[in-house]
Amino acid sequence: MTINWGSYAQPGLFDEWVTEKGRLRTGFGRLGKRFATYSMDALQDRSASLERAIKEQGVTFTVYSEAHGSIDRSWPLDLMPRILRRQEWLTIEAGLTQRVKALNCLIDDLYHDQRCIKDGVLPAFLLENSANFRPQCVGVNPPLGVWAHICGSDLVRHEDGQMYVLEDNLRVPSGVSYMLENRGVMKRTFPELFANFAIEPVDAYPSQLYDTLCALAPHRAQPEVVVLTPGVFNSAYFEHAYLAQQMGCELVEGRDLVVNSQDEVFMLTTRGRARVDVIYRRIDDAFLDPEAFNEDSLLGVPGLMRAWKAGKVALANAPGAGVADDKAVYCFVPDLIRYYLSEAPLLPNVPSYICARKDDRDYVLDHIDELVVKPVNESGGYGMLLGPQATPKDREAFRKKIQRNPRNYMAQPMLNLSTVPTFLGQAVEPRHVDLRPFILSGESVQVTTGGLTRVAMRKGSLVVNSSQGGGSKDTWVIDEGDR
Amino acid sequence: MLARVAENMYWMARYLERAEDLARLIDVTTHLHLDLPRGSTPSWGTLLTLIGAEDSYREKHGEEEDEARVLRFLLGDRDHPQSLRATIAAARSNARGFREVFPREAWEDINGLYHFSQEQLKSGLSKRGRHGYLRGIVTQVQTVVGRLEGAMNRDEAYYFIELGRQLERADMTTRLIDSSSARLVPREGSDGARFDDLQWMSVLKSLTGYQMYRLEMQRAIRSDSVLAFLFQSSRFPRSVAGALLALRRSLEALDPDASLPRRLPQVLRQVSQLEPEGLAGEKLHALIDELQQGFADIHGQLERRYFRPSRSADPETGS
Repeated sequence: MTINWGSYAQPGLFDEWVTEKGRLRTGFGRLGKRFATYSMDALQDRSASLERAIKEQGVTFTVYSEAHGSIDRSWPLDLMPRILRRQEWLTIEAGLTQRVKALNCLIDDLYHDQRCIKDGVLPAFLLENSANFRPQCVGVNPPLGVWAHICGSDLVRHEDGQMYVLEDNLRVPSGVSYMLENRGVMKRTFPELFANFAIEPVDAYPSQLYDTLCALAPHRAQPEVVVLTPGVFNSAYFEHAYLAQQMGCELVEGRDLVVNSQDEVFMLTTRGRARVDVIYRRIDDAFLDPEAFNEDSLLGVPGLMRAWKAGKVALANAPGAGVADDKAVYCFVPDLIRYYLSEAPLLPNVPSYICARKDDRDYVLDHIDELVVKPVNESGGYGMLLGPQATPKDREAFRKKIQRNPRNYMAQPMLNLSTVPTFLGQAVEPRHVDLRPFILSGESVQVTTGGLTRVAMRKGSLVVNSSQGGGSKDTWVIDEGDR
Repeated sequence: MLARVAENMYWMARYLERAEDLARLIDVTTHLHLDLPRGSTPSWGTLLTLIGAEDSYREKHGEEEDEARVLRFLLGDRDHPQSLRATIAAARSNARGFREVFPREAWEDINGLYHFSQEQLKSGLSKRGRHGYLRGIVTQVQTVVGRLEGAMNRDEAYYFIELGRQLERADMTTRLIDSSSARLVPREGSDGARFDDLQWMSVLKSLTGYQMYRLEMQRAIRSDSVLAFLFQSSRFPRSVAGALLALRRSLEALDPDASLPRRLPQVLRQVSQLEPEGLAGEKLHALIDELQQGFADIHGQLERRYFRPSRSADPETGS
């Protein structure tokens, strides 16, 4: 038995590989036919060797359970890649580049003159009630004027075939290590496909990240760059360790660092203290420095904000960058691109309703059964209401929440994410996906080729988070012309 | 390298060595008890004394020191930090702190050891399963040690692991020797001497030293020659001198220009100069106490030098 693309298609879904009529899309023909030459047995064999490779490479993620504390699980990777045609990818890449440039302009503006507010582009109330605006950052000039050095933006394709930006993660976005590991595993599993198709490589990321970080160093020729982790019990610890290892940097915890009275940062080594110039921090603002923020934080480093403000150490991302990943600010990004860059936005936003605005709020309250309602300052899919799937009681509870604190919510229509063929052991079926590319900003802007594709493994589900049963796919940007 | 990571490595190695030696000690004691004359009551409490756990045991179980209870405490007690189970868990949690610089297979082995110690515990507590359980632990610790030996660069990381392993080994060997002075077997009548030999043999075997003793000393089992072998042999890797000399080599490789921790040469001298003839009972016990204090001092000196750089904002220079 092999894959029959004619009977694979399902009405009402936008599939990335196959049209509604069961034909392989333009650019997918050669690869789609190639996959159809594998028997189910052959695919099962490949799947077994893929899982072995994941185990051998030790790719894990951490889940928490009441009973067992934190447990390392093997990372879930699906056998079938997500494919993007190079032609389309170039547009996405350009769209993400301009987006992140505008976001960095916005952050710098908000901590200085606030021109965008004076000029009426961004409503003042958004800033007044922002949970992620840090007064401590006002007037600071980080190196190169860049605040968000590492950004992870989530993209989804709707049933109209258009790619939309769902959100931008500017605090401590994670997942890039899995993008890199997925590729390593897929190369071992399908070496002949990599030999026969022009699949663009992704492995430049660690050295690009390292160069981006080095460029932030105050003024030393051989800067000491470190990765700052909350510790082994953090769910992204695998990634912290992986990136430190790939860049050849020390992986430090807060207790490994001290700041002296000259505002210089040092790490404590077996040979005494060593000066640190750049910190890629994977700790949230609130826990970064007990002197400046949450004074109970045991994860942070007392005095780190002082050192950063004095320009003695660079922090990536800069403290306060999260002000721009507020989901209400998100709604204004297309306007901000026009305002700061005088360019037309290349990637559209998902249409959004800001509950702080009366008209929008009334619409949301009336149509809550059609909408997804999100708290503006959460990430990872927490605290959301999926209107069409929620019970009447939950909807009512959310209406009350919105009325009590409208600034805290925004809403979007329920998107029907596109699907990609996914291997399920006995069959290949469509499953919903999203895409998270990573964007580096320093002296220039660089976008990963493709990104991390997340897939909802349950039939019909739109939840792609790995903590909630989501899996992942390798993302191939290929140049196949019209074949 | 980061002081915290070096300390994690050092402690992981100490806990692994401790787990192996504890497993050997329990195994050999069990066998020895099977050889005891009928009617004599073996004292399991001695095992508790050896690892300094009698107080916490009494707190939990009172004066009763029967085999089942003592073994459950030594093998499986979650709350007691010196139980075999807790020792292995501590090794694993230290290894967690430096996975990124550790050969991955070694991490998988430590994980396997940890799961084995938990999952097979029930079998380990049964009389028939005990030997297999303890052998399993010894073998798996040795797998980790072999893996590190074969895979790690000879750099700081490797030497900090060696320091922990060798210092713990020296310490555990003195505890094993002490088991004889603590009178594992009650001496009664003319059988006493015969069981002294049995006991020395069991100490040697617990260190896998019986064959090596025969090869090196070429003598029958006699108290003074066994003591000379276990304290002073520079060829036997589990002797006190053997472990301390290995410790010294690692320190010299780690820091060729630095002076040795002051106490190390002193303790080494004390070991090489001791007179095994007539060394027994209280006298032996007192000597061992003194040596163990020396090991603790060496540990303190390593800790100050490598693991505890000043955290104050502006340390005085030159200190």
